[in-house]
Amino acid sequence: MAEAAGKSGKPLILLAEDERAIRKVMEILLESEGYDVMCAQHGIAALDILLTVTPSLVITDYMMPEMDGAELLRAIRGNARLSAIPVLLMSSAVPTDLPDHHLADQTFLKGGELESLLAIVASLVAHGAPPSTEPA
Amino acid sequence: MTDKIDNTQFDRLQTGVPGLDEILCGGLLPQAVYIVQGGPGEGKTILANQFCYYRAKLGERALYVTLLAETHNRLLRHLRKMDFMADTGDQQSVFYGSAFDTLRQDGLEGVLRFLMRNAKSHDVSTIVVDGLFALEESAETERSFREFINDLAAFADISGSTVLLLTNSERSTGSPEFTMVDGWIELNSGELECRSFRYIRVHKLRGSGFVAGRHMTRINQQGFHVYPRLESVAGDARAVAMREERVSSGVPSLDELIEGGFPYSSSTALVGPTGIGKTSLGLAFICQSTVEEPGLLFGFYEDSIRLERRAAALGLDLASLLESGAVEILNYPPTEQIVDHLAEDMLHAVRRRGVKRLFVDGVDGFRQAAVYPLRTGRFLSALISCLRADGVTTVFTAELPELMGGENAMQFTAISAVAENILLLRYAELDATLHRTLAVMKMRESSFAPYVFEFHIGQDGFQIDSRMSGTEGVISGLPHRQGRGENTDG
Repeated sequence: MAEAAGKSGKPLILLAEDERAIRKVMEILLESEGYDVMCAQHGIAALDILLTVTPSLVITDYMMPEMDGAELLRAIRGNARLSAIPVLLMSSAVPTDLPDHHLADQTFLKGGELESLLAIVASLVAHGAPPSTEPA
Repeated sequence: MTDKIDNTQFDRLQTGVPGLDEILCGGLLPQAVYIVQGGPGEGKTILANQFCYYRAKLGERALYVTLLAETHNRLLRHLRKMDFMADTGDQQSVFYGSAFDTLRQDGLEGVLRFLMRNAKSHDVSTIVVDGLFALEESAETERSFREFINDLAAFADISGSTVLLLTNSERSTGSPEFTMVDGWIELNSGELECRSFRYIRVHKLRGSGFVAGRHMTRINQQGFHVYPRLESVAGDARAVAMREERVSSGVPSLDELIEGGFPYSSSTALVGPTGIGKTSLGLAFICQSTVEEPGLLFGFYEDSIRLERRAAALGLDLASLLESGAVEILNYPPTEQIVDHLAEDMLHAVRRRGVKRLFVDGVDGFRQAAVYPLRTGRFLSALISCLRADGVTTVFTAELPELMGGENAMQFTAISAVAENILLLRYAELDATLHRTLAVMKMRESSFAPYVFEFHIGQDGFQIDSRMSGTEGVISGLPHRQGRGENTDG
């Protein structure tokens, strides 16, 4: 899938997160890494944004009001125009225990290493896949 | 890139502040935000820097951000005198930065971005913000200040950082920042007559227990030191298995009265008025120490030179025992000591050398050191419990002008509660002559000769003489010859 860009020409990331503070901190962090960021408070708001833009990556929390991360994932994978967008699923619960986590390209336990998170984001944006764990 | 410790493998972050981890039940919880609150001079900056440098020694990095007009040079000039800073070879692991201008120009949002940017670029795991009150003052609304704290907590969680917010604010305890952070530690001080003392108090540690209440602290060349209240952290020490073994008092004629000696790992109080011979009996006990079963003499009033002379006068070679390492003397003048510091030093000395015999000369020294004398009984119970758990047989002396207790002396009930064995030493004035007398009042799980004995002290040491006969009232302090009525002169 072609890399989508924000208005500034930087890769665009859509962040769906209901907690204001995490949304804000993630936005600052991602912007400092050179991305444009659009934010949504839940899955429905994220889908609204996806009607008009095609981001390079969707980062979504799992537990959100109105529409949670699993529903958002299913909606993205079920839409031909959106289905190829890489999705990173984040959660405070162990993501691999969550239903439909396999629909995400990568999962990440909240509170993990920041460097790992940013490396995953960079790889998903650049290659549509998480960093390889195969030995060089 | 530093060799970071993977905190996810550990429940706690050790602080490097002696005693603090103990009251935090192991240390700080990582990825959390803490308020360290205290007035000027209470030690916030020292404590926070000590934490940073300790973590730096473990290979981590820290960011120390000030929001004050004070220059870093001024801050570091004083800190460089501290041992914890000198001990750290790599001083490049703690980064200092001022966000004073950022706060003035860009407000709280600017400071948040400043912290995130610098924490990330320096790859730190600890962030200290010195001057939280400056943020409070700069916040346009209470809500924006709350959001700042909230944002910082989110960053701590996402980045895996631990954040310390230092403040001298005296805002009420119901202020939102105290409810929003993960932990709240207060540094404070108090006055007792002319005496000033410092203390620390943990008010909150989210998701963890902690040892509540006040714990005395001290700041010196080594840095910040917390002395947990002994009875709050050591009350559950488990005693060693009971042994039938007896530990000689050092006075064979006394051993005969108590089935061969003091019960192993028991505590014995030598109670009596000044000058009666309590220290002499204690010296006889401690001079039974050997290199294999070492002894410790812990006192408040007499230094080793005086004690050596006193022992020599009793025919005891304390000097040789000191030289061989069989006995160690720790002397603490009864000035402004911290009672828990005394206990810490005593227990450290006991464990360092595997002490089996302990003589505490003047247990009242603990009461005099206590800022809160009412806790002395509980403190002594905990101390004895620790010693018993370490297999130490303890003898201590206690002044007791009157059996029922005097205002200035430790109450008999307090001594009785901690002493498993009690020997009462009294003067008896009979026929215009002062007699030194000894009676066993209590002996753990064993019988004893239930009589009053006369004793003497001389070049042959402490010696039990014959049983007092034809007398009554010696123990109650009203001795008289039987059939003659009370000797009211005595």
